[in-house]
Amino acid sequence: MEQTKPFYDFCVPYNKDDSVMRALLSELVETGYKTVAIDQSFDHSKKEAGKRGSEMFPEPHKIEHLRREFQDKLRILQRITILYVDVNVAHAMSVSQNLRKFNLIAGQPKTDAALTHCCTAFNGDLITFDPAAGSRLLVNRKAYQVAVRRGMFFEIKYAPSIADSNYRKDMIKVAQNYCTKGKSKNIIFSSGAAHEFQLRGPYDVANLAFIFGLSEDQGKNAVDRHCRQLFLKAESRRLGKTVMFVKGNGPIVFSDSSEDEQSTEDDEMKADAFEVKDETEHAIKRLKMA
Amino acid sequence: MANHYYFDIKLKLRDPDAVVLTPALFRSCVLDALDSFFCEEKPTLEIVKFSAQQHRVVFRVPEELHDMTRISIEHISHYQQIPCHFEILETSKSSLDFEKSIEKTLSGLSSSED
Repeated sequence: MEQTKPFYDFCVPYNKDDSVMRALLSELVETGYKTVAIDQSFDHSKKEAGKRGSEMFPEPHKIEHLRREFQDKLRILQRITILYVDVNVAHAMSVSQNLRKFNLIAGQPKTDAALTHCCTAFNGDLITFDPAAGSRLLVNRKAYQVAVRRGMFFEIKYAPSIADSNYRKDMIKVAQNYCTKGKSKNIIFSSGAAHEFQLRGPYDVANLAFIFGLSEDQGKNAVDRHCRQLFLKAESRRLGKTVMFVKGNGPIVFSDSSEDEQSTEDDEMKADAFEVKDETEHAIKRLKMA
Repeated sequence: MANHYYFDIKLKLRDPDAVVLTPALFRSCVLDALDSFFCEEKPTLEIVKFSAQQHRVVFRVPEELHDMTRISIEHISHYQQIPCHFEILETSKSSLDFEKSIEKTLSGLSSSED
């Protein structure tokens, strides 16, 4: 299974300036984060209708040098946030190869219809909102419940609320809406920090639950357990249906049998194991042929 | 006697040379944050220890203001128009002293080297 370590910050906006990225990642390491996602935005609504071809999503930015630099300290994932207004995005997403290269896909609806679509049918992992647009879009109870049943997560970014008190009001309103409509289920906190001074430690972030209407446990889960669940869901979406072969390392030893019996059983099991291996190889060949 | 909560804060500033670090200015910065966020006007905030060189502060507030103070400190983003982060290193009901903790760390390091 894919290993990740707490704590998580799934929204570190990408910056072309490497020194800014390095400062951000160093601060994340220092404050105790182990798994982060570098975010890049894509506005689907700005694409012209005529140009909506088979591949409209961008490739992930090249961050191998950052991964190498922080390889022992941080696990760096890549995320795309798709801003959209209509359901046409669903078709574009289904045919896109580039989207598979991202670890996480977030949807940022711009209209009420898009928000409902995001909750009920969006083929991503995460629903986020634009702090600059204010609290214009509020999710309704039914859509929230459908989203939770589908395993979608709702994101609350804390950096805009640090940067501007107006954003803070909107943020609290949106968070309170999540609280009243869906008891703040499936919420994750992430930073969305433009520079390192907007980052806060995971315990401080969990403590923000106090103003966002979450319980203490929900606050802790929002930077730890829910993020892990989100990551696993995203991985399963990326990999799709997977065939698994389970191979034993040695023979099964029954404790109630004598040593002699065991040795004969071991021989038999080894023979069986070889047969099973042969069969598996045949099955793989057949799959490849198909 | 009223119960207090002690905060050990590390001041991270983008440009430390461009600001004047004094206990009074720090205190007013925290009180402004409390006022703007929770409308708590002039609550009791006592600075116990302050070091401009080490960028460390220990202060205490009444117990009932603990949560509000913590949230307010997390939301402080500027100190004299310079981007900053007041990192909360520790909170405790008992008295805190960053000089003692530094000494402990140093003595721990020296013993591990031996």
